[in-house]
Amino acid sequence: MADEQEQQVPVQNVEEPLDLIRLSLDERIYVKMRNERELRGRLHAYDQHLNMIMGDVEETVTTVEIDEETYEEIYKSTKRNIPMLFVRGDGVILVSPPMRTGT
Amino acid sequence: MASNRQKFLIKNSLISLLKALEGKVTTVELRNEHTVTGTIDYVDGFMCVSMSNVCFKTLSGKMTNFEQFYIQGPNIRFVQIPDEIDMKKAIHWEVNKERIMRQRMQKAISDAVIKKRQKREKEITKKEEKEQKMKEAEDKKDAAN
Repeated sequence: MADEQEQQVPVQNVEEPLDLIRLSLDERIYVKMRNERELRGRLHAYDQHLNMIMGDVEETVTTVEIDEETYEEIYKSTKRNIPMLFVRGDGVILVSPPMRTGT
Repeated sequence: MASNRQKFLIKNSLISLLKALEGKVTTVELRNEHTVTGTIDYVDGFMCVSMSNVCFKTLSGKMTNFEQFYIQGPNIRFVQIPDEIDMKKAIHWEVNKERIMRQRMQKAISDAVIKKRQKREKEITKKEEKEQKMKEAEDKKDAAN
């Protein structure tokens, strides 16, 4: 019973970097991932590995192609939506509140 | 059964949620852009997943079916979570299930003990009543004589 009560009272002091992420719980966040992937969605839960559970996720994958004639780099982004997603932490580069211009 | 180390890993990270997906049909996306859709049979503390009745899809769209499939944890990028999962409940159950089970068992045992004691007390009171009646009858007989 005591455990539950402790869980329900959110601790607000920030002592380590991961505590900052706790401030984003249940907020929309932006996650940059390896392989040019980006996620935007609501953060439901996270753990010490930065494994995360996100809801209403919009995933953006950016691929670069080089034009054979002009050698220009062409960026292609594909988007898709996933209602609920478990993200393995080792692919995460950074977590931040969503960029205002980006959304 | 999972070793203590595995249990520790499961309880102290979000793998406890993945454990709740056991028996559910989901899609797991791998680091090499392939996706695996099928029933999750078992998840261990290192996020290694055994699946069955799997459809394995490469990025180019080629599909292959497998009866059994095993994915090493580090190869996973995403796991899609089906809508019907109540995450809070699932995690609470996964983290506290031993305690909950123990409490249930203790309750069952104590209930059984109480029942037994009540039964015995009932028998004793019945016996006493019977004896008293016999005594009364005997007393009456004596009185009559």
